[in-house]
Amino acid sequence: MTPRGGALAVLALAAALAAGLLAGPADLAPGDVLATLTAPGDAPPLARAVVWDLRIPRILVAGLVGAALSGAGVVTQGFFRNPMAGPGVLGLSACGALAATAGIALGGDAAGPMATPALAALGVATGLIALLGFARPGSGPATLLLAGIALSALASALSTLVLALSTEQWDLARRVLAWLMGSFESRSYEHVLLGVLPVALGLVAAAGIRGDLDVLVLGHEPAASLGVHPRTTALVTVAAVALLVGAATAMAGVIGFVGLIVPHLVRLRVGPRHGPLLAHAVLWGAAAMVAVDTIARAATLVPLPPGVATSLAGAPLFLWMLRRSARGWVT
Amino acid sequence: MERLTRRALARAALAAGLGLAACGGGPAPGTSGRGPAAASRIASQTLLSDEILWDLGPDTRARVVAVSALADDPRYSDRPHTWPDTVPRVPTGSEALLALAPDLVVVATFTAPEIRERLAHVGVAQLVLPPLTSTDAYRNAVHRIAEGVGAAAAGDDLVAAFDRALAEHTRRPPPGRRRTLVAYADGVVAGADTTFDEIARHAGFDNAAARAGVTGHARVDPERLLAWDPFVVVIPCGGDCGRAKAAFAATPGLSALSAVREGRVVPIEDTTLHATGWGLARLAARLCDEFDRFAAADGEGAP
Repeated sequence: MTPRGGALAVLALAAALAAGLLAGPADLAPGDVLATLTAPGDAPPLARAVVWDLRIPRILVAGLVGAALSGAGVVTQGFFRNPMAGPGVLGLSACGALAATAGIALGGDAAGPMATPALAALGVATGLIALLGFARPGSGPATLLLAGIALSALASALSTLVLALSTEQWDLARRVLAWLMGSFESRSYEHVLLGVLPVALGLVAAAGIRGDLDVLVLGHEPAASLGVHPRTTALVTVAAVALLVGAATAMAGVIGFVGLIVPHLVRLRVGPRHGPLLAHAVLWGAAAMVAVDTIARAATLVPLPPGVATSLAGAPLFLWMLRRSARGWVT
Repeated sequence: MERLTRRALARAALAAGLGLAACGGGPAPGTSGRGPAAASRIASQTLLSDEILWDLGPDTRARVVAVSALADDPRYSDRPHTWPDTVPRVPTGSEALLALAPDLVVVATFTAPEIRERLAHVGVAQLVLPPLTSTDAYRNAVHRIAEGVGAAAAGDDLVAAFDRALAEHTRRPPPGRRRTLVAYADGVVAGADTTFDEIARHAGFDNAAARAGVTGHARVDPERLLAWDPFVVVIPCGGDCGRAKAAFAATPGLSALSAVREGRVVPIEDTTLHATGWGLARLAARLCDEFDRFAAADGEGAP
């Protein structure tokens, strides 16, 4: 990470976090927000609740989710040497969504606010076991990719089946859909605690294979001849993606496009080396997620699900990038 | 000769196509198809019509050949297991419904257009209920169904009884003394143009969501709820009201609401809170009880 580029990314994240703290439908004046931050004991209970119980956990969760998905995107695109590979490519987020959907349909969400995140994490873990069962890491990236696509299709079909069976029960279908669209609403410090460790571990794992991912650009066989252990790299890739995607899905539901587009945008600026790419993508991913959520929350009367907001913002950007890089992908 | 036959076939095909096109879009709210005055095989496909048809009396009940699939689901139906088991519970537009050969099907504007079009295409008369956004819409639905099944007098009696029940539960606080309230369910509030708003005003409250410009049932950010800080928060509870209250209070940030801190979160059974028919009178009674409780606590006299 160059000092200047790194400073810019940190600045962007700080600006997004500040905007997320200051903006919101409660119309608190910036001075009131600052006063509540610096002296919470003296602040009115409602202002304290808005700032400390709603906005701070929300921006922390959004930042963690953005960082996790962007980091996972860097790893999957690097490992599979495929610009279309996003964090969802291994089917793990779809497995998390299936577990959460089934849990909601069976009334499991009534057990408490952390029940659905826990189920989603369980779903991701089960998906990981299934993925490794179907495609052993040593069997090559193509097999892993295809197994991930098949797993994703199967989990999505089962989620749709659960949804189809519950369409008559409109409140159930609404709750499932709300979760599938992703949300940062009513997220608490418990969600932050749930996500922070797996995200940190996932990013450490991803950083550990950054050099291997650089060499893998040459192809898996040449990389092996240069000392990269494909089996180990595959295993660490899968573990990192599972931790990052699992944490993001458990914290906020299914959020698309961030993990696909942020690595591409950052790559245009910092180049293809995975060390700086990962660091920048994590910071910019967090900043982008917080910014998109803040804009969606402050600019619309009805809360816009972050999964929808990221797709609305990400798809045109992606098309722009496709047009810009018509001569070939920068990888 | 062969050319003529082909021409005739082409014309027939064109006519059939036009005929199908004329059916397109399904009927608007109201009654369509054959005249339903003498309906002898009535199929109800909404919870509200299940209820109204039952309330219209034994003569009407005897002509009902199907009720909605959710008729016995206690989470949604205000009167589960009211209809005898011999009356089938049938999903909308299903083959089973058509097999019962109904001559009048009661549907709603939310029924899928393709299902309404299919019913129209096979010649089944439909009575389409408009969205239920006020007690007038309920009265209107009763009158229309009653007229549709040839039980207009029973419909008049039903509406009169509903109005009497509602009139018993009216509170009129002095001007400017209305306490604010919000109905909040999983992040969704009931704003203006909802039956809840009308019943809340009827019971002497001021719906803070409607006052803030929310129309219909809309999702709102919890921050907005905190900014409104209503005097009373009404929440739905599916049986375990204590648990629903605890879950609401545990929602991040909402414990700061004065209604939570001062014990003014009012859990109401789902079927009452989301009632579309007679349950509205029950909702009015429930809200009036709360009104009286708060008035007594504040040392106010009877309204």
